[in-house]
Formats: sequence, structure tokens, C-alpha cells
Amino acid sequence: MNADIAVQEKLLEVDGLSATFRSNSVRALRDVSFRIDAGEVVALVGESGSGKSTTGLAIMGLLERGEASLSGSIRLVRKSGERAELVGLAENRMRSVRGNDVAMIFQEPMSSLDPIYSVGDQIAEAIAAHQDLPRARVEDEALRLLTIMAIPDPAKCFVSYPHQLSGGMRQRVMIAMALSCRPRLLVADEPTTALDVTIQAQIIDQLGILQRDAGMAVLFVTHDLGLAADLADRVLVMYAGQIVEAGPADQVFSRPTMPYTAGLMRSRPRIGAGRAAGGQIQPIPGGVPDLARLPTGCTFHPRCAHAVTGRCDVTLPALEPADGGRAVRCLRWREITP
Amino acid sequence: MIADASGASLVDVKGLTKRFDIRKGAFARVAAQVHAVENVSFQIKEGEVLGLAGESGSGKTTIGRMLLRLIEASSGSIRFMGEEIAGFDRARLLAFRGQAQIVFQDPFASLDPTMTVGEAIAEPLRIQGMKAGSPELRQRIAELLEAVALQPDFTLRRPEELSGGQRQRVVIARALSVNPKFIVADEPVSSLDVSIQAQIIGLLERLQRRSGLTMLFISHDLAVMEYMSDRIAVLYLGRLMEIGPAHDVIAAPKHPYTEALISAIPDAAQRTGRKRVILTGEIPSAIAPPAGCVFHTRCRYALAACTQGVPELRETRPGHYKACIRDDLL
Repeated sequence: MNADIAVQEKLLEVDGLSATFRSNSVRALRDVSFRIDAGEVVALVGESGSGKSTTGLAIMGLLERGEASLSGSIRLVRKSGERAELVGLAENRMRSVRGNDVAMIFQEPMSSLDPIYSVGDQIAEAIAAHQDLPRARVEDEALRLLTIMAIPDPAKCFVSYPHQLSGGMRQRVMIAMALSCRPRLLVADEPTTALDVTIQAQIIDQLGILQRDAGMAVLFVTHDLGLAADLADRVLVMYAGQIVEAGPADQVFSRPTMPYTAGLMRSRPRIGAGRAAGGQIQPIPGGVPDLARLPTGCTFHPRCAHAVTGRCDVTLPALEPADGGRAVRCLRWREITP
Repeated sequence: MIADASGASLVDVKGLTKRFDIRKGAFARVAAQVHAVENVSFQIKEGEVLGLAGESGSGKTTIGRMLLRLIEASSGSIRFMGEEIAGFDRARLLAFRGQAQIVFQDPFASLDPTMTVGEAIAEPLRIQGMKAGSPELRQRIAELLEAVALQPDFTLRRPEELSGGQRQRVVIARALSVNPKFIVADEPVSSLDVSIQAQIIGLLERLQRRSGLTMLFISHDLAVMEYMSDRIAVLYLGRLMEIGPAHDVIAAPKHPYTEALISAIPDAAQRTGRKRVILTGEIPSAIAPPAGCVFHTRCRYALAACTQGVPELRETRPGHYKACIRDDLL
């Protein structure tokens, strides 16, 4: 680890990122900008089609191969201190970025693990690809990673095949593999969504310990607002391919400014606030827009109670700074914030 | 009587058990059994929503299927309006299908892609004897579409043209078509986006209140369940751990498993002011469930006695029961 890491050291800067899928010309991302500092946990929240997973894949350089065209910029400060531009980076160099600086974990670990190789072989392969270690040390390192992921019997896990493990154990193995390159940034795309809630709690707890120990930054992609509130320093809310609100997690969740964020908060039942306790939920009317036929103006205006004809349906709002260190994409936020 | 609810019960379950055989070898001999549901008893009174909570392998879906006789129980009794459903003949079973319906989790799998929305909604009605193409049937489809807030022109659309939320509205309309008394809703909103989930919860809530529908609401999401249910039953490895009024079970859980389950919800610690409990270990196999209390292997309060007998459900407060021998905590 670098000794001269200062607080608020910039790690990743995404600037004006847009992505268009080549097959159907759908613009999955439009003018996405944000930064992640070293050691920071940022949650990227949104519903289906919001672009949250696409953003994660774009950072990993996993979108470009003929699938989507990217414009804008993704700048990463590498371990070496080099500032790399990831948009348009040649695949062989991108592979070295993925092996050394950034790693990703997905919702379904089974699709990322090879069913015909043992867990140990796969972790060892990941380690050997990223670190120059003698063969014997590679196995020690694999066992060490399984141990820090709190796997009860690491030696047994090492010789197991993926199908012999539970979903929770497979996700721990995935995380161990992702951490094998000691990344400065981990992109975690719904890593616990498929798991039971008591297993999710274990893994999130473990991931939190590792994140703090390693000073690793995490971009946590999730649909679960409660999970985002629980673990993130900052939160980015996406809707229809754009960031619509960003800011410190406590600020965004306790006093949402963008009507979409406020609507999401009101549509969730909260534990301890059920019907018997007088709890109410209030859905957002309508559905998430089709990216191929986006509404004019603010993409949220057809579902927004505050929308004003002649303004919200004609003007595309910019993501502008608001109070409490936030940014909001809404023409009317000053008028409607209580 | 166990876990009684005051008032007439529509569904009365006693000692319900389901074991699935695992067969091996050329002669398909029974090599092992999955203890999916073990000795579960509860009642659902008319007009009540009972929430059934639990994680993978808890048996919640198996119980829902057994209550509708979509699968047969291994032993125990299920009475519907006082009648034992295992004893239904073909005619009575057909009538039962008009009284008890199901809404599944995945609206993408539960609609036939070749049928229009109108045909899908009409299917249970035709099975109950209504003539295809009749004016009454068309009238009923229109009423049902309105009840689930879909435009009349949806009747000619096919599932592929619909969003997830719209499909789930169609599935609900189909279940309601025969005016059932009882609905099993198995994770009805789990596959939907948060903003759409709220719309469907609101719809189910309105429909349930309007017609006094009795419901078994199965979910892994306790916040959704608390919102929808009058009472909550918590299952672990096929056994009932706790059952009681929804607010009491969430605000003051009596069973250590319920305590852990609630505290595992991401923002629960902030919301309830209770300390976070993280369970160790994984859910044991239902093929060889632990002896004694099935939860003892993960319970931070377990004593030697917990490995001995299976704890009985006992009433700790009026209407609130737990299956835990320790009375000195929670």
C-alpha cells in the first residue's frame, strides 16, 4: 500500500460517460459523472434499466467489445501512480488494470466460477495471474484469502468444486478471488441479492472488515436502499441512465431532494412501521421508462407529482449542486424542498 | 389448541408434515428423506392475512402448496371451512379450486406466453364452467382488469408486451377471477422493482380489504410482510419457531431466530434501536436436521438442553407463541 495516501485522494473520476448499445441504439448511460476517493464506499442505487450495472461494467472495461460504444471519460489512478484513461484503453492494458487495480463481483457467483475446476485451482490461477509468487506460496496465499473470508474449513473448501458449496460460500470464494489482486477499487454488483438475509448479513459484515483493513474503495451496485444506507459513505441514485441525485448517504436518505429519491423512500415498507403501527407506503405511479422511447425533458416528469407542464417536459435538468454536499437533477428542487 | 386466532378459522392446520424421498440406484430405493415441513400447526381465520416468513429451506413454499393441495401432505391435517382437504373427491376438488387460488412470485413464468391477457384471466372461470366467448365472461374480464387497474385494451395483449408489474396485475386478476375466499400469495412482489412493488402491495391490500379475502402471504421480506399481515408465523428448517400478532413479532420477537432474522435486515438496527445479531454458520441440511431444537447449532443462547427435546410451541403473551425452552431472555 502507498504510504502517501492522503484523505480524499481521488481514485476514480467518471466524467460525462455515455453508453449506447450497438444492437438497438439504446442509450443506456447519459452524461454520468462522479468520483470515488481512495477507501471510500459509494452505493450506486436504482431500479431495472437505470444503468447502474452498465456503469459498473463500463468501469471494468467489460462493455466495449463490440457491444456498446462509450464516450466521455473514466480516469483511474493506478497503484503505480499512473493516471489511466479507461475509455478506449486497449484490451491487453485493460486486462492489466483488471488484474491489478480494479476487481468485480457479481450477483450470481456460479456463473463466474468454472464448474470443472476446484475452488483451489481457480483461486490459485487468479493469484498466479496477478502476483509473481512461487507455486508453493500461491497455495498458502489462496488458503489465507479463504481464511480471511471466514470460510469455516479453508482446506476442505480449497479441494471442493463450486457445485459442492452453498450460495453463500460461493460468494465468499468469489470475493476471495477478487481480492487476490489487492484491488484499490472493488465493483460489487448486487453481490448478496440472491442470498438469504442472515447469510447476506454475514457477508456484508465480512466485506466491511476487509474494506476497512485494506483501505479499499467499493462501488456497491444495488437496488436495496436499506443496504445502501447501511454501508455507504456516499450514494448515487440513477434513473433511466442518468444520475439524478448524489451526496452523503445520511443526507440523501434522511432528506431526499430529487422527487424520484423521495418517492423511492416512500414506496418502501419499513421494518417496525407496518400497518399496525400506522405505517403507510406510497407508490410512484407508472413504470420505469423504455430507454428506446425516453420522455422529453426530465425523464422522471411523467411520474412526478411536482412536474410542471412547459418546464419539466421540455427542459433537461442539469445535475446541479444543492445543500449538504449534494447534487440534484431537478428543475424545481429549490421550490419543492421543505 | 395451538396458535389459536379468535373468530372462525377458514384454514385449520394441525401437525402438518412433508417429507420428500430422495431415491438412489437402479431400484430407486429411498436413500434419504428431506424433512421439508415438520409438525406445523396454525389457523387462519376468515378475512385474516397470515404472513409466513422464513429463509431458503424453511418450508414456507411447501406449506403454501399443501394448503391448496397442489402437493400432498405426508401426514397431519388441513381443514378448509371445516372439511379435510385430503378427503376431497374430484368434484369437491374442482369446487375447492374455485375457492382457493395462488399468486406465484415470478409473473414471467406463471403466464402462458401463447395466451392473451383475456384468455389467461378467463382460464379459471372456464375451468369452473363459464362458456368461452360468452357476454358474462367478457363482462367479468373487464371488471377484473379494472380491479387491478389495467386498461380494457389489455385483454388482447400477450405477456411479452407487458412489464413485470403489469404481468403481476394479470396474475392477480386471474387468481381473483373465481371470487376465491382464500389466496396463497407466494412472494408476490419479490421479483419487482421497489416503485412497482409498492403499487402491487397497495393493490393486494385494497383487494384484500374490499372483499375480506383470507390470505397466506409468503415472503422472505419481513418489512413487506409486516405491512401486509395481521399475524406472522416464522419458520426455520420446516418448523414453526414463533407465531403472533405482526407488530408484536417484529417489535418484540420472542424466539432467538426471529430476533436474528429481523436484525439481519440492513437498516433494522437503526430502525429498531436493537443491537445487530449476526448468526454464525449456515442453514443446516434438511436431510439431516439437528436434533432437539433445529436452530440450536446457530443460536447464541443455546444450552445443552436445547440439543435434547424438540421444543413445543408455548404461549408467552396472549396470542403470541414461541418454540424455545428459554424463558429468561427476550
